[in-house]
Amino acid sequence: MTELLAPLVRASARTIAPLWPLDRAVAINPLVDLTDEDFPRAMTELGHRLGVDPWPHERHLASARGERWSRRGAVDRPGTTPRPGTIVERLRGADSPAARVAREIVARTCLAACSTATSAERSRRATLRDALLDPSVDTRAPRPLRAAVAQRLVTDDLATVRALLPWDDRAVAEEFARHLARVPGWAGWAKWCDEWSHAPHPAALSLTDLLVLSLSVDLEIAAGEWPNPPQPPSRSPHGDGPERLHRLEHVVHDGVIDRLTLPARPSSPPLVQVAACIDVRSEPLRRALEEEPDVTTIGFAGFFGVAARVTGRGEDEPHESFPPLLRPSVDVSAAEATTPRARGPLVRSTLVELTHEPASMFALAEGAGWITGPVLSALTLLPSVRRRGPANLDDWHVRADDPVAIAEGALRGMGLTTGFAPEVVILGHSSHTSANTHFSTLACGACGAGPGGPNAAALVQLLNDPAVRAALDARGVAIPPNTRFVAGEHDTATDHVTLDAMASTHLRARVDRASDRCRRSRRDQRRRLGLATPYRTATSARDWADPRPEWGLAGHVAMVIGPRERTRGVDLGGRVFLHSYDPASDPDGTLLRSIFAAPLIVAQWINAAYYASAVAPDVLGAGDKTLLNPVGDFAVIRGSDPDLRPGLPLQSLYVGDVPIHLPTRLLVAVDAPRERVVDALSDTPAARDLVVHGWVVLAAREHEGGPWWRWSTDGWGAW
Amino acid sequence: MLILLALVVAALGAAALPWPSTRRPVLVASLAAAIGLALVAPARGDLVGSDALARLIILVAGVLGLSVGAFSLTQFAGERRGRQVVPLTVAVVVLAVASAMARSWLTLSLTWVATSGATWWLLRVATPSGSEVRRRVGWTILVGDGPLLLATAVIVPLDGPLPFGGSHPLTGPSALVLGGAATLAAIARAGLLARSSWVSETVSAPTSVSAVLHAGVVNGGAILLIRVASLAPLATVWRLALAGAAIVTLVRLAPVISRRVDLKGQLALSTVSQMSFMLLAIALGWPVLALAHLAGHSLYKAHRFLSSGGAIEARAAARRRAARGTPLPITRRVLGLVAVVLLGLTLIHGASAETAALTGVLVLAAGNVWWTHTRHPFGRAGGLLIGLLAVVAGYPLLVDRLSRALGGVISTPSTTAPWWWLPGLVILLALGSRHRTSRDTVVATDTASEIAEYAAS
Repeated sequence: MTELLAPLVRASARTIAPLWPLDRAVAINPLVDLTDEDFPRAMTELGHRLGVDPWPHERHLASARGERWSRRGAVDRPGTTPRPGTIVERLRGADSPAARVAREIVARTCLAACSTATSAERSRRATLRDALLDPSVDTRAPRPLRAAVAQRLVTDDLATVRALLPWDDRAVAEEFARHLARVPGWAGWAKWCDEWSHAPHPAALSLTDLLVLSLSVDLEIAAGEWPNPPQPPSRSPHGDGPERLHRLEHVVHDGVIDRLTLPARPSSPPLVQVAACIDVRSEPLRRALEEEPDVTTIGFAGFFGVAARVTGRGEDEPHESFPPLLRPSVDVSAAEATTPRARGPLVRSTLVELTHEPASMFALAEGAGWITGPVLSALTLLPSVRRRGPANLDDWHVRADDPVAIAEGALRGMGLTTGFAPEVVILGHSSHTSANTHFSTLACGACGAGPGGPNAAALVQLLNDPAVRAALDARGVAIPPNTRFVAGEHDTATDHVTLDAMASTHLRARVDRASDRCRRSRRDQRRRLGLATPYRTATSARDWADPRPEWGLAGHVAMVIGPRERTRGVDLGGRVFLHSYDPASDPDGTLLRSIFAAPLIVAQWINAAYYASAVAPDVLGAGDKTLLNPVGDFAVIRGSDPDLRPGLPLQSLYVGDVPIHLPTRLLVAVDAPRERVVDALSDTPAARDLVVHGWVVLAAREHEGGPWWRWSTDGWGAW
Repeated sequence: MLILLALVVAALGAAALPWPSTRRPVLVASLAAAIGLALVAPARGDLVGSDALARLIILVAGVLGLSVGAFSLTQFAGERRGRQVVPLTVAVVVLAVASAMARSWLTLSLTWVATSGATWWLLRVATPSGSEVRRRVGWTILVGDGPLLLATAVIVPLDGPLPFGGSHPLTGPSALVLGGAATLAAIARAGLLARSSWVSETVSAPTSVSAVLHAGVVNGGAILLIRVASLAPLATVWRLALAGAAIVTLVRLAPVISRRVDLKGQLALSTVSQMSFMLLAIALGWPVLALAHLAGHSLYKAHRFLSSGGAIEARAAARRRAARGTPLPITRRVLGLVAVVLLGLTLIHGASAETAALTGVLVLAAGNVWWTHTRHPFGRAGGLLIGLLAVVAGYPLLVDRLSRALGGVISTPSTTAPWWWLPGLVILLALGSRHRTSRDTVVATDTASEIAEYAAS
C-alpha cells in the first residue's frame, strides 16, 4: 500500500535539495527535479515553499557594479511569504509553542535515531521509536506525547497515516510537502538516502519514515482537530525578483563576453601539454603555465574518464571517485593495501574512544590537556607547523575491465589524438584544509568530492603501458614513443602542484614558477578583501581558525566550451569553467554532445548550489560557519538547532556583507557554429531542458573574432 | 600595574586596528607581555598579585588567551562583529586571570561577577539569535552570583576585605555564609544539577566563544572554593552539598553524553561532567587534584572545541580504515578493570591519598584502553601498554610536584576521603552508565560489507 504512495512522496520532495554526506559532498542543483519547468516558476515555488526570497539582492547588484552597499536602511530582502504551515501550524499558529514542539520532536528524534546504524534486526522505524522512548534523549517534548508518537510508529505506516487525512491526493501531496519543508535538512538527507545513495548509509533515513514521524506528531498534537485542506502555493513569479536577476546578469555576463572577445596569446608547438580539470580554480594555474610559450593546456572533466573506486593506503572502504551520474569501471588501490594500520590513526581512534567512555574521559582530560596545551598554541599561532605529506601519485594498482577503451575515451574526449608533446601532464586537483566541516566541497566534484590525483595516476599508468599504446595505435591514436605521461595533483588551497616521480626537472621548474604566480595573485585578492595576507598562502590552508582557507568555486560565472587557443592568455579571473573543444575535429558533434550530457550538467549543478546558498544562506545554505556543529561523519547542525544544514556556509560566499559569489545563472559560451550547438542540444534532453527552460544562459560564436549570439526561445539574437 | 593595564588595553584594541596583517601580532605580543608581567606581580596588598596558585592559572589562561584570541581574530576576519567579539573574548580571559590573582575576597567576588557580566555580553554580541543561552546565563548570575554578592555585601563591612594568605581569619556564621554562597556560585557556574544548564546551551555560540567559556569560565568555581578555604575551612554541610551535586550530575549525565550525537553537544555535556569531577575532588578534600584537573581540562577542552571543524573528515577517515572488530562486553571489561586496579595498588603503595586517587583513575583508563585494543598484534598492544604505564607512573609525579609547589597557598581540609573512593565511583559510573554501543565499529563493518556486496553485484 505504501508503494502506491511513492509518487505522492516523490512529488512532495521536488523542492527539497538532496543533502549529500559532508565527507563526499557533491554540489547539486537543489531543484534537480524541476529542470523540466521554467526557471522563474521553479524558483518562485521554492521561495514560497520554504519562505525565502530566491532572487539576488541589492547588495549583489551593488557589488557587481563596484559600488558600496550599506546595510543601514537598506531594503535588502523584500518581504517574503511565510512558509506554508503543517496541520499543527495551521491550527495553532506558526510561532505557537505547539508548532515549535512539533518541529523539535521531529528533528531531535531524527538526530538521535540516525546515530544508530540500522541492521536486519533493527529498522530505522525501530530506532526512531527507541529515540522517542529513551529518557536520555532530549526531544523537548512531554513524555505522553513521545509515547503516543512512538506507538504510532509501531502500528502505522504511511498508508495508514494517509488514510487518516480527510483530503484528496492533491491536498495530501501538499501536506507531505509542507512536512518536509518544516525540516528541510532532514528531508534533504532522506532524499539523498532514497534517491542518490549507491549503498545504504548507516545513518540512513527514508522520506517515508520521516513523513510517518512528522505526520504522527501533528496528528497527536491536533488530537482530532482538522484545519482546512492545504492549498499549493502560487508558482507565478511576482515582484521584481526576476528583474533583479536580469539586471545582475546584464552586468556580470556582459563582462565575461567582453573578456572572451579579447585577443588570445599565440602559442608555439608545445613541449608540455597539461590536461587539467575544467574547475574554475584551474584557470589561473593554466594561464600561469601558458605564460611559457611552449606549454599548452587542455580542459577536461577532472576524473579524466576514469570512473574509479579508489581505496587509499590502510583503508578498507573505497571512495567513488567519479560523477554521481556514472557507474565505476576501474578499481584503483594504493600499493600497500595490506599495510598494518599506521601509528597515527591508532592513536587517534584510541583518543576518540576514550573521550566517550565514562571511565576514561576524566583521566584523558587530566593527562591529555598538559600535552594539548602547547599543541593548541602551536597550531593557532604557527599554523605552518601543521604538515601534510605530498599527494601519492606513484604507488597505485589499477584494475580495469577494458583499459584500452578507457584510455581511448579519455584521449578522444580531450581532443588529444595527435600532436602529442614530449611530456603530457594529467593534472587532477584536490584541496587540503584544516578543521573544515565542508572540506569535501572544495575537492574535485568530478571525483565524487575527493582528490583527483588517483584518477590522474590511474590514467597515466594506462597511457604509459606499452600494450595499451599498441592497442591505441591500432585504433588510430598513435602516441609517439618519446611521449611520457606524468600524473599531477594541484592543491587548490595552496596552489602547490605535486608531480609524480617521472616528471622532468624542466617540467617541475615550470610548474613551480606557475604556482608562485598563482600564489601572488591569491595574496592580492585577500588584500583587496581586507583579509590578513600571510606571507605564505599555505598558512591560510593550514590555519584551523580560517573559515575561508580558499574560495572554492565561489565567484564562478560561466562555462566556456571551445578551443583553448581562443582564450589563451585572457585573464578570466578564476571564474570560468574551461572545457576544451575543437569544432573542426568534431564534424558530427559527438564530442559536443558528450560535453553537454555530463560536464555541462555538473557545472549547472554547481552553479545552482552556489546560487541557492548565496540568495538564502540561512535556509538553503549552512549559515554562519562559526556556529556549525558536526553530527557524526555526515552532516552539521547549527548550534543547538536540530535540523541538518544544507548547502554552503556563509563564509564561503561572503566576507562580512561583501558577496564573493554573485548569484547568476551559468553563462554557457560555446565557441562552435550555432547549428552544431542546436543539433547537439536536440540530442541531449537534460541539457536541452536547462537551456529551453532558462536554467542556463546560452551563447555561441561561429568563429574566432566573430560576434557572440545569445539563444532565447525566439531564436538567436545578437549579444 | 599601569604597564600591565596598558598591555591589556592594547590586546583588547588589536581587533580594531585598520591593518589586518598587524592585528594578530599586536594581540599576541601585548597579551604575552601582559601574561609575563602578571606572573611576576608580587603577592602583596589587597587587590591583585601572583602567588603560586595564581601563577598556575595565569599560565593556563595565558595559553588559552593567546590561542583563543588569535583564533577568534582569524575566525571573525572581515566581519563587523569581530570588533566586539574578539575584545570581549580577551576580556573574559583577563577577568578570569584577575579572579585568580585576587588578593582578597572582595576583589575576587567583584572580578567573579564581572566575569559573569562579560560572559553574558560576549554571548549577546556573538550569538544574536542565542536568546536561550543568554536567558540561562542570566539565571545563573541570579542564582549563583546574586547570593555571592549579597554575602560579600554583608560580610565585608563587618570583617573587612578578607585578604588571602592569613590563617583562617573568618569564623562563625560569616564563615558558614561565605562558604555556602561560594558553594552555590561554584555549582551554578559549573552548570551542575540543571537539566539544561547554560553550559550545555553554549553550543549556540561560535566555536572560539565556546572554547573560552568551557576552558576559562566554567571552572572558576574551583578557584573560588580554594580561596574560600584559605579564609575558613569549608563546612561539612557545604562539602556534602557539593559532593551530592557533583555525584547526582555525574550519574545523570553519564548515559546522556553517549547518546548525544552532535560533537559540540557532547563536549558541552562532558564539560559539566568534568566540572562535577573537579568539584567532587574539592568536596573530598583533594584541592590539588582539582587544580590539576582544571589545568588539564581547560587546555584539552579548548583544543577539542577549536578542532571541532575537523571532526567529520577525521571520522570519515577512521570509517574508511579497517574495521576494529567488536569490543568486549562491558561486564568483562569491568572485571578486567578491577584486576588492573588491584595491580595498580602495588604501584601506589606509600603515595599520598590524593595522588593515589589520581593514579587509581589513570589505571582504570589505562586498563580500559588496553582491554579495548587487545585484538591488535602483540607488538602494537605491548607498545600501547608501555606508553600507558608511563602515563600512569609519570602523571601522579606531576601532581605531587604541583602539590609541593602549591603547598603554602592551598589549605587542605583536615578530613579527606579515602583514596579508593574516587576510582570506586568511576567504576560505579561505568557500570551504571548506558553501555556505549560499538556504533562506530558497526558502522564500519556494515558499510564495508554493503559496499562489498554492491561491488560484487
